[in-house]
Amino acid sequence: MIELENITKRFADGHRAQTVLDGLSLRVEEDEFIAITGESGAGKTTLLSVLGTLLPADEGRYLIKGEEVKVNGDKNLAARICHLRNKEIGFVYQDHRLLPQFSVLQNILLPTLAVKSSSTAEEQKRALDLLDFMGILSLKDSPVTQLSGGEQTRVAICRALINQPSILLADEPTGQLDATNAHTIASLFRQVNDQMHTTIIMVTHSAEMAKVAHKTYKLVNGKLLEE
Amino acid sequence: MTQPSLISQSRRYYQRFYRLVAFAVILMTAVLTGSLLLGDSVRDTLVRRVSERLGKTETIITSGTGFLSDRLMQHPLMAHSQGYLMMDGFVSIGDKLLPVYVWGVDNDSLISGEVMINEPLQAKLGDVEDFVLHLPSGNLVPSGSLFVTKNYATKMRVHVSGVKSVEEGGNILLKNEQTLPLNVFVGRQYLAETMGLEGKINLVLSDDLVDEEQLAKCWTPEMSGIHLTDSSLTYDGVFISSPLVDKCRTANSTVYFSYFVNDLIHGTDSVPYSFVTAVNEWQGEPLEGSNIILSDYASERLGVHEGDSVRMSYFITKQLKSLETREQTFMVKRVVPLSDFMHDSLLLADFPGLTHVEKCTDWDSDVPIKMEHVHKVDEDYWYAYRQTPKAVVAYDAVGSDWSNAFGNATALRFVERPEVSLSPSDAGVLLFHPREQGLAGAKGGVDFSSLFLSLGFFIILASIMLMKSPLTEMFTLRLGEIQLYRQLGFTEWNIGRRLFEESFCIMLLASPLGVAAGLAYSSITLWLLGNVWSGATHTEGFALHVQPMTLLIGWVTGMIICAFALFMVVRNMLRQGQGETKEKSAEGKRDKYLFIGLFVFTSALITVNFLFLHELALFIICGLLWILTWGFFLRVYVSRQVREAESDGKMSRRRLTWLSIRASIKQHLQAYWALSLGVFTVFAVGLNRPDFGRAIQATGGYNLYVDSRVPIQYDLNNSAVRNKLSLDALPDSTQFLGFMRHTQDEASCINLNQVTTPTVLGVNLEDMESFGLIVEEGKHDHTIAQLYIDEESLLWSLMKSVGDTLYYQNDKGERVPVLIAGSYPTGIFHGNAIMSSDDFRRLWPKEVGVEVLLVKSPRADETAEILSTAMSEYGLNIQSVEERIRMFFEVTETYLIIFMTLGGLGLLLGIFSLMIIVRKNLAAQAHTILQYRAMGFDDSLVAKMLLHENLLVPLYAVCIGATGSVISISANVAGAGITTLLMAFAGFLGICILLYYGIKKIISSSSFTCK
Repeated sequence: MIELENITKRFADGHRAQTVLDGLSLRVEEDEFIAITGESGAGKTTLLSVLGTLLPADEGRYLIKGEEVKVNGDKNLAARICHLRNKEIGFVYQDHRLLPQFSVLQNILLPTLAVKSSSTAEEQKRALDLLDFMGILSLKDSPVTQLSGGEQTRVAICRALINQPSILLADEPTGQLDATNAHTIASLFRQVNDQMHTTIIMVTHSAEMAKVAHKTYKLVNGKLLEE
Repeated sequence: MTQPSLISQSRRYYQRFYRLVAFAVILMTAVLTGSLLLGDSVRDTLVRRVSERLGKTETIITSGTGFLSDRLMQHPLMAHSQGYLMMDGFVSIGDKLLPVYVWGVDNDSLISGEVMINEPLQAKLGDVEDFVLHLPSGNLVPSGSLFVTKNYATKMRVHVSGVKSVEEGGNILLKNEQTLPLNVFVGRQYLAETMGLEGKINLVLSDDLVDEEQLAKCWTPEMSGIHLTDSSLTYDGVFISSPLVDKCRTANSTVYFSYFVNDLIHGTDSVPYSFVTAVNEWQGEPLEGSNIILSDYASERLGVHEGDSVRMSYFITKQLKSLETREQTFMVKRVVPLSDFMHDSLLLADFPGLTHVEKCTDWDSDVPIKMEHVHKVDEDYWYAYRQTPKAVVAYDAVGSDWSNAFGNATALRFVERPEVSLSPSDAGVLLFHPREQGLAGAKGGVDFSSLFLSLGFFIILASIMLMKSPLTEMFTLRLGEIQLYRQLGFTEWNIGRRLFEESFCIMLLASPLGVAAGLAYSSITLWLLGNVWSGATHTEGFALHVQPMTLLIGWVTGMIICAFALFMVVRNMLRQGQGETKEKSAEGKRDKYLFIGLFVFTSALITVNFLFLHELALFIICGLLWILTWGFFLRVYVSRQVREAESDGKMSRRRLTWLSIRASIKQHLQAYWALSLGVFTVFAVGLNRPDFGRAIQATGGYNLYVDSRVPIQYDLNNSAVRNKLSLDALPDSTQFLGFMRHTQDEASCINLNQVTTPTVLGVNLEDMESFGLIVEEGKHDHTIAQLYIDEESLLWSLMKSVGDTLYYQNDKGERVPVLIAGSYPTGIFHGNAIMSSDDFRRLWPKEVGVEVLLVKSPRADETAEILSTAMSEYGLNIQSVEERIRMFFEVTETYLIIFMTLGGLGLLLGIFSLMIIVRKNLAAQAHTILQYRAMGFDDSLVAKMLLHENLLVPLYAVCIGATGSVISISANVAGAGITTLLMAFAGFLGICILLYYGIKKIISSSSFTCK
C-alpha cells in the first residue's frame, strides 16, 4: 500500500541544515493500522507531512499503491498530487483545524469541494452516515466552535473520511483530550480501520493510543524502529 | 453544499474585515471616479462658457482702431449679424472701479439713459440702480495721435432697467477666458450720440460663418470712412495708413500731410500756430528739397519774397507724446494767393479740438499753445479762413517727422483714379471665427482629471493600503484554513481562486457605492472650487457633468487596482502558507553594499546640488533617495542585530525587539515605505511654498502696479506732463515704467483655458533686468519678433517651451510668427508676455499709449491716492505689487492647500492602515504573548516590549520622511518661511504623538495582551 525507501528530509536553519528524516524506510500494507511514536522534535509531523504529500522528500522514493509520488514544481504533477491527496488521503490533526465559519456538516463536506463546485447528495448522505457512525449526528448543524474537544476530533475524523480515502493520517488526534475521550477516539479509529478497511498511520505520544494499532514504530534519529 | 454557499458563508463570518475592505474600495473608487468626473465637469463648464460667452456667434468682425458704418448691417449677407459699438469702460462705485465691457446694441427697449447689465455685474453692484459709466472718448481720429485733445473719457449717468440673463447673451465675451465678464448693454444710438459716433459700429457678431470673400461683398471703403473718389483719397480718421497710401499712390498722385506748426519765422517776424501742408507737388510742379510755397498772406506778414528763406518750427513726437521741437529752414519757391490754398480742400484736415473752434483761444490740443503769442491778427485770420494753410512745404522734407503710427498722409490726389480694389483688411477690418479656437482652448485647458488624480494620489495609495491591511490580517488568521485546503487536496489555484472570489465579490459589490461616492466627491469638490477654494480658479458656477463612459472608466480602473492588490495579497499568503525559506545572508550583504553606495551617492548629490546646481527637481530626487537609503539601512541594521544575536548567543530585551521586527520585516518595511513616502509627500508639498519673498524682490523696487482702462499717451516721468495732469503733488522721486499692451488672452494661472496668444506688454527690455528678464547682448534676433514669458505661464497656460513660436495677428490682419525667446521668474508680470517696444510697434503700431504702469515711490499710499484722484477719468486700477503677486500666489497656495488637505487625509488613512497592521501582528503573536506571560513577564513589560516593537519603525519612517522633505526644499528654504516651518514641525510632532498613542491604545486594548 505505502512504501517509503531511504527517505531523507532536511531543513535549512539559518546557516545550518538539519536532517530530520535520515534514510527512513517504511512499508505499510493495505488495511494496516500503524502508530508512530517518538520524542518531541524527532520529526513525526515531518514524516506525516511527507506521507501526506505536503512536503517533498529531499531524497528517497515514496510509493502509494505501487505508484511513485513525486512532489516538485511541475504543475501537472502538482495537480495529480492534489487529486491523490484529496481522494486517497485523509488528515486528522491534534488541533482539528475546523473552520469556525462553517457548521459541523459543512466542515465535513469541505473536502468534496476540492475538485468540484458542489457536493453531491450521496456525499451529504455519507457525511450524515459518518456523523451517525461517530455518534454525533445531532450536532450536524452546530457551529464547530460550540463543540467539545472530543466532538471536534470526531468531526475532524468524519471530514478526513468523507472522500473514502484509503489512507488516514492522524497527528496526535487525542493530544488535547482527556483519558475517557482519548479511549473513545482510539476505539473509533480501530472501528474505522476494521469496518472501512482504511489504512491508518497515526502519530502519537500516547502509549495507550499506540496499543490500538497493529504495529508501533518509534522514530529515532530520523529512522523508524519497530517496537 | 456548493462552493458559492461556502464562499458566501466565509464572507459573512469575516465580515468585520470585509467591512473595512469595502470602505477602502469605496474610498478609492470614489477618488478615482470623482477625479475623472471633475476633469469632465471643469472641461464641460469651460465648453459651456464658450457657448455662453459667444452665444450663436460664429464670426467676429472688428474694425480695428477705426469704425465701420452701420450701413454694413443692411447687406443681406449680414441678415444674421448684429452690429455693436463696443467699448472698454469702467463703473466707479464708491472708491472701487469695476472694469466693464460696454455694448452699444440695437435694442428698442433700451431708451436713452438706461442700460441693462449682466448677472455677474448685478452681483457686484448689489442694489445700485444708477451709476456713472466711464468710457474712453470715441474719436474718429485716434487719440494716440498728436494734436488730439487730452479729453479721453466720456461719462454717462445711467439707470439700470434690467438684467440680461445668460440665455439672452448677458455673458458675452470675446476673450478666451472662463471668468464671467461684467457687461453693460446700452442702446447703440444713445451711446453713439454721447460719443459723437452716430451711425458707427466697431464690431459685428454674426451667427453665420462669414469668410473674407463674403465680407468683401458687403463692405465698401466708405463704410470704413475711406473716401476714394476719381480724384482723391481721404479718411475720416485723418491719417491714412502707409500701406493704404502705398496701395493707392500712383506716379502722378499728390501726397498731402496737413500739420499744425508752431511758428513760421523770417528774421524778427513770425506767424504763430499755423496749419502747413506737406505735398510732393503743387499745381503740377514738383516740390522738393527745402522748398516752401507761401500764401500771399503769410508772405506779407513775414515780409518775404521768392528766394528768401523762412524757418519753420514744429513739434514732433516719437512716443507717448513727449514733444520735441524741430526747426527747418525753407526757401520760398513761390508766393501764391491764399485763395489757391482755399480752393484745394485736400490741403485742409480736421483735427478734433483744433479745427472746429470759433476762436484760437478755444484750441484744445495736446501740444502746448502759448496764447500770449496769438494776437488779434491771428484771430482775424482764423475767423476768416480757419485751418486754411499758410504755406505748403515739400513732403520729402517733413514727411518722416510728421508721420505717425496711424499714417503718413492726410490725403491723396489723383490725376486719374488708381486701379485698385480695396479690401476690408486695408481699412484694418479683421475677421475671425472664435468658436473653434475657444473650444480648443477649453478642451485643451487645465486637465483637472490629472490634477485631482495627482492631488488625491495619496488617498488612493492609502486606500489600497487600507484595503490590503484587513485582507492580509484576515488571511493571516486563515493560514490554518489555507493549510487545511491543501491537506484536503485543493490545488493552489483552487485555494487562490476561492479566496480571490470571496474577497473580490465584496469589492465588486462595494464599487458601485464608490462610484456613487465619486459623484458626491466631485460635486463637493466642484462646490469647494467655486467657493472655499475659489482662489485656485477664480471661477464660479462649476456644474457637475456626468458621462457614463467616465463612470465606467473610473469603476473599471478601480476594479483593476482592487483585483491586482487582492491578487498580490492572496499570492503572498499562499507563498507564506507554503513556508518558503530564503537564504538571508546573501540578501544581508547586498543590502549593506546598497546602503553604503546609496548613502555616498545621495550625500554627494545633495552637496553638489546645494553648493552649485540649486535645482528643485534634483532636490526632490535627493529627498526620495534619502528615504531609499535609510530604508536599506533599516534592513541592514535589523539583519545585523539578528546576526549578532545568533553569533554571541546573548539575549536582551532590546535584541528581542529587533528579533521580533525581523520576524515580520516585510510588514515593517511596508509601513516604512508607506509612512516615509506619505510624510515626505505631504511635508515636501507643504514646505515647497512659492518664494513670495523672491518674487517681491524681483520688482526692481517698484511698489505699485497700475492698470489703466484708457491708454495713457504721456510720459508721466516728465514734469510738464505731471503738471498738465495735476500730478505735481507726487513725491519728486516718483518714477514710472510704462508698458504698451496688446490685449489677448489672460495667460495667468487664473485662466483655465489653454492659451495660444497671451497678452503682450511692450517695454524696453533693458528696463526688465530687475525683474529677472535678462537678454544677453547680441542675443536678440531682429529678424523675427520675440517675446519673453514667465515660467509658470509658459509651462501651464501655454504648454510651450523656449524656442517655440506663437502666432499673432498684427495691425494689418496678417498672422505673424513670434518666437518665445526666453522666460523669467513668475512674479508681477505673471500671465503677460513681454516684448521689446521696437518689436511691439512693428506688430501693432496703432496701439500707442501705455496701459500698464509700474510706480516707484517713497510714499506708495499717497502716490496711489494722488494718481487715482488726478487721473480718475482713466479708470486706474492701482494695486501694490505685493497685493498683485499675492493674488497669483493665492492660486498656487490654494492648490497646495487642496493637496495638503487630500494628502493629510491620505496620511491619516495610512496611519489607520498601520494600526490595522499592528493589530494583525498582535493577533499573529498571540501565542508568543501568552508565552511571555506564562514565563512570568510583567504585563506592563510585555506591553512596553510590544510598543517598542511596533512603534520604532513607524517613528523612524516619519523622521526619515520629514528629513527627506527638508532636503527637497533646500532650493527654497526662504520660500517656506518660519511660520510654515513651525507648522511643519508641529505636524511632525502631531504625527509622532498620534502614532504613539494610537499604537499604545491598540496594544492596551488587544485581547491578546495584558488585559
